[in-house]
Amino acid sequence: MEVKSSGYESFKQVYKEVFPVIMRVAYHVTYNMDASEDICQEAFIRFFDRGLIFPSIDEAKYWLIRVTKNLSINYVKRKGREKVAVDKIKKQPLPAAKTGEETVIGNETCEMVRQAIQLLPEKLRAVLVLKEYSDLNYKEIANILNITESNVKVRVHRAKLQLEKLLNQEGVHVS
Amino acid sequence: MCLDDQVLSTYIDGELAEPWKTQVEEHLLHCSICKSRYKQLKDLGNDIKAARLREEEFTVQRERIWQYLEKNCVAIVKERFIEKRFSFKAPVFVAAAAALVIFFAASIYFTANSRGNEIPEIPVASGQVEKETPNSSIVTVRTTDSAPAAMSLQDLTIEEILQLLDNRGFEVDLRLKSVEPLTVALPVIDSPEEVPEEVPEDSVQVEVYYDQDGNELLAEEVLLAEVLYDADGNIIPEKTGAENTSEENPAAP
Repeated sequence: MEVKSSGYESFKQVYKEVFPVIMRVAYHVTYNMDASEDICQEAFIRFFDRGLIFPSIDEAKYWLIRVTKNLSINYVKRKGREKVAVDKIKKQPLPAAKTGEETVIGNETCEMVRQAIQLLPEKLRAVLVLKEYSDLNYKEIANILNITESNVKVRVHRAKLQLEKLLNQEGVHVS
Repeated sequence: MCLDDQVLSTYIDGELAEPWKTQVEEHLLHCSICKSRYKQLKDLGNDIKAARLREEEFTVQRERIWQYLEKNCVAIVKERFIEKRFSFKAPVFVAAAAALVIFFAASIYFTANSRGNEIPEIPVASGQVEKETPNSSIVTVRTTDSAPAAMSLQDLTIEEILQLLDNRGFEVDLRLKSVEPLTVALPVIDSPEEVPEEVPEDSVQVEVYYDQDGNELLAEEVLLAEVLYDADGNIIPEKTGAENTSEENPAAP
């Protein structure tokens, strides 16, 4: 099905299906909800304004993910230059209200993982985010990042190893 | 030979192709070390996935961004649609302007023409003179709103209408159309000026007398003269009864 990015109906459908992915990419790269919101809005505005025609909704999704990833990386770099990137993690969304000790522990682990991902180098972070939070396979990630599949495979593994190391340092028991 | 971390990671990601996938699965059944490492990596993967931003965490942003986009993008779509529909190239604009000019010119022309044919309204009842009297020689008389309700043109005779027009300073030229003469073709009087010209000709012809040599006589000479002649040199027998006895002239000699 052909997707016209400036067509109202196509645009609406793409937004409905792709927004969660875009939002997750922006958030897990920046870990800032306000920045993520701005980045997502900007990505969709660019998508609409370009008036592009995609052969499928997946191609439109790859385009949006690529733009969002770049915007997010740029944001992180800018923030890194301002030397406030790591310290400003206070804008994280409040976890959904749940009851029970298990979920509390779960939330703690969640926060640990999120903080650990922020410490990953940009290249590893982008690949890991796309692999774990965008439901994309190696081939799709390779296509979006314009790298080889084996490169994706290696980067994903390296990212996991670094995360494991970081989480063990912070005393989180990964069980 | 135990499994490499990279291979395990790829296997966990579900990206390991056959036949290596089956080989890994078989190895994990027998190797406790690799199985333990596999479990560690699998748990790590689960923890990472658990940190995923949940739907309920961005519901507000999702709605807010959509509202912004819908407001702006729908407006843009409509704007573009209008531009597409109503934006014309320069020649079309020129043609439109030309059409407009022609329209106005035509309207002015027809308005002027209708003014020319406009019939001065003569209020029958009041009898006031219309100031907007055209130079046209044709005038139509009709009743107006200013006339009393009981009054209509049919209440007036043609003589009254002619009198009315005469009182208002109109030069009346009454013509009858589609009227054919029964026997003799009478000369059609085109203008009232022709009528007074004919009248003096008849009267002057009777008054003039001539002497024997054909010279025109003055009034005093006519009284003194014994014999009078007409223009053709014929003798007029009696100078005082010229008009009445002119028919006897040929019988006298």
